[in-house]
Amino acid sequence: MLDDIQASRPPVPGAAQSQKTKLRVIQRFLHRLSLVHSRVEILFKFKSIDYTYHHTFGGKAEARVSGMDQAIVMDSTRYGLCPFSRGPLPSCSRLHPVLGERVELSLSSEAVETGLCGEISFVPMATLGPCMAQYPNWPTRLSRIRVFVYGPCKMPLMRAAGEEPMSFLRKLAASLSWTELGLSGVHYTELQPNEDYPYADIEFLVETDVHPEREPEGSTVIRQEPKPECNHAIEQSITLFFLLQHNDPFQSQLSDFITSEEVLERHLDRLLWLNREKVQASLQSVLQNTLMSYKKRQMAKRKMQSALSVMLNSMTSVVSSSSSARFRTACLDYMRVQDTHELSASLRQSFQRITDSRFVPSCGCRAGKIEEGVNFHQNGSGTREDLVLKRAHQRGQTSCGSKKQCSEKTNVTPSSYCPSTSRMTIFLMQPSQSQHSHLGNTTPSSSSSGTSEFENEQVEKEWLQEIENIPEWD
Amino acid sequence: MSEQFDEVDKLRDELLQNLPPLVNSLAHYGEFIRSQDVLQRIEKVMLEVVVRLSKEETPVLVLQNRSSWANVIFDRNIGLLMKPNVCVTTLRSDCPSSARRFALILKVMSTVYKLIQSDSYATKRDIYYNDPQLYGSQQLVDSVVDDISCMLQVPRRSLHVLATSKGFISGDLCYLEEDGTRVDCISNSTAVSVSSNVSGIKNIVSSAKFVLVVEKDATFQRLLDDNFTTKLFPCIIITGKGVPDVNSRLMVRKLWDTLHIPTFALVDADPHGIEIMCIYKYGSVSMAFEAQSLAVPSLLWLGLLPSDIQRLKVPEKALISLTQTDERKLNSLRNRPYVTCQPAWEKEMEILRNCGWKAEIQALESVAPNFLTTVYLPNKLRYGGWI
Repeated sequence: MLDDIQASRPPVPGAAQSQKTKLRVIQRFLHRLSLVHSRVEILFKFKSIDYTYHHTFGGKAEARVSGMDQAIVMDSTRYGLCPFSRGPLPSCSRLHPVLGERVELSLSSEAVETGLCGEISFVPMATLGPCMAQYPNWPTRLSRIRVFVYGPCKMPLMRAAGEEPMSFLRKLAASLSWTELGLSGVHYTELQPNEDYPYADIEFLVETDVHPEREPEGSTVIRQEPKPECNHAIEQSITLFFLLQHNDPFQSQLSDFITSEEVLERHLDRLLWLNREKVQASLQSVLQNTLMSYKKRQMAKRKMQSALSVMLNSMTSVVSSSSSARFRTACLDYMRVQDTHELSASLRQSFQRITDSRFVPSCGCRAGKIEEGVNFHQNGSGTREDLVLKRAHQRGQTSCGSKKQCSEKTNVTPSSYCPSTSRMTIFLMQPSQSQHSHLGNTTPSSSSSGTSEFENEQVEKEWLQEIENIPEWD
Repeated sequence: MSEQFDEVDKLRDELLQNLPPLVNSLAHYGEFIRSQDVLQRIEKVMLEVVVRLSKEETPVLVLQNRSSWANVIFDRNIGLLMKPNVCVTTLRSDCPSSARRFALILKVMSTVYKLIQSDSYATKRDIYYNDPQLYGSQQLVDSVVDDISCMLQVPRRSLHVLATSKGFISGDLCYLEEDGTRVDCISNSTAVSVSSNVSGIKNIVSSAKFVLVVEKDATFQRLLDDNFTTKLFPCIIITGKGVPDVNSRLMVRKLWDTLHIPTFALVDADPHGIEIMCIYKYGSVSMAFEAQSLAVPSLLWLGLLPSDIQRLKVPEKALISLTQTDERKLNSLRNRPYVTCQPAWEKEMEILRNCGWKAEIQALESVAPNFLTTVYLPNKLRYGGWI
């Protein structure tokens, strides 16, 4: 991919659009790369005749999950998922991952013949986001499933423009039992370029749920009146990580790893088909576990709707049949309505609004519980950056795998392969960069807002602490 | 024959002398709250929900916790009473775990509201069958009705909710039902169902010397078959068929309040039987809010005492080993507040624990045929074998 970028260096008139396209490809690649190397800060600078682009990927003390030899970013904003909050109440910007079981993959004879040896396995990991645990009654809708495949060296498997996703992944729409997962089905969709979203290997749109807000028989569901803050179901997505692993004790040279990675990438689709039963079972299982909370939520929602209907009917019945003018007047006055018909509608709206807006400080969403990044601030010793570096050093060589192309065709600093360094610089320069650099519009680095984010996190932590001190509400 | 009841008569005199002032009064019993008051209490609950909604606050219902021993105190003249300031359970309308109960309470309240307005009555079973899918189970309706009764501080009768009685009564007893129906319980072979409207019973006529509360229906039927009420005439026998329902307990209490005659219990010599007897005597935790009309603290344990098993040399083959559950139950009973004021009961429980055996009333059949009605009970009553 980066070969392509190098090839485009000569300033051909009218090639500006092409450069931008290539820039986007690099951006997507680095974005994807930064998701599984959360401790590595990637400084990316792109200069051309017309403009200068500068962006920093990762490197912040973000929510992440560690394990499987890598630290995966668990900040939902990095996946284009906007954390939900209502008014001054806090939001949870973290994704809560569900890790599947490691599946050993059998190698095809064809792959072995081409030099792929050792043990190949994959670990699925999925998250449902944005996190809505603190708003248990707010309507939600599962809209899409995005799959990210990473090779053993933690490099994203990016496909070229126009290239179809792997057939195995495409067929997941038909091969997985979606009804068992509480979904009527999914269908493959062409990816729409979006700078906010990391470019997935494949994306599925989720069809309507099997039990869409169906009320239990014999009860009447409250039909929600249009309310700006209540009638918008929050769209949630599943982010499915497909993490490949390769262990060959006879490999020791970097070139061996790179070759294996390339061979594996070529044979991956066939390999997955060869092991389809195991792989599909594993994916089914991890999706089942990920969607458990979603299904419970939908079930609770149906129960709530049924209960609200009974509450409303009971109250309306008492008020309507009461012969106490004082009682009836008091009810109408409090709800600021003229008659019992209006009262019923007003009560319905209030019940629904108050129920939907329920906020529960969720233990799983508390700062400092799963979020390693936040712990850095809490420790209080040394600078934040020092701690990040220290952790990166402690992790050893686990997060430094890279593809051959990166090191050879881009100006990657030598330390990018070094485990003790957490900063990688990618500097691409167009031929006339020196003459026009002063014209460039430098995009503000994402790290520039680090201080304010840090302050926000502190405020949120204090807020959560206050809520913790309130006695249990239920 | 006159000697047969000497000890019972003496006991009655003692009981009458020691009647606490409160118990001597009928004012508390079946105190029927005016319908208008009940309606207002329901309206108050509904209005509180409306007020909270109008303030954009989550409606809540505050229920007294009816399942915790920490919420009851023991009064030897009344039984188990709910504490004035008890732990409460707050039901939120917006929480899936409590919303259903919240909704069902409002639903039953609205049903009660209509019943009172139309001056009609319904059984808990009627309420359940009105929408079985909604309620799910009869037990849930029972619990919700009791919750409402406790929350509004209103006896169930005042909610216009009746319960189908499961108890039976027989003996020297005549009374009028609220609707004017005359009920005569004097029959040798058949028993009368305990009224489902005990508080409506009036004109009670009886010359009975005592009331015998029988734990099990099988024993009750055996007593009827053996003409017990004739042999030891005049007396009244009643059973709640195991763990007694509210009507059976109300009836036992009503008989005590009206007749002031000794009330005896005939239960199995096992922890379960003792617990049932304690419910008649001291009430239950879940209904502690109505203890004054449900418990008879003067009730005495006539049989089957664990010491009787040893004394009568009941054959071992008729005995059953105590299970671990029995032992746990026994330990639980011994820790209850009312047992400490009953040293004789404590002693019997100690015997039960030490011997490791339990016995049903039917075990007496192994001593001799008809031993229960011809020897055991007459002698117990004649010689004051109660504790």
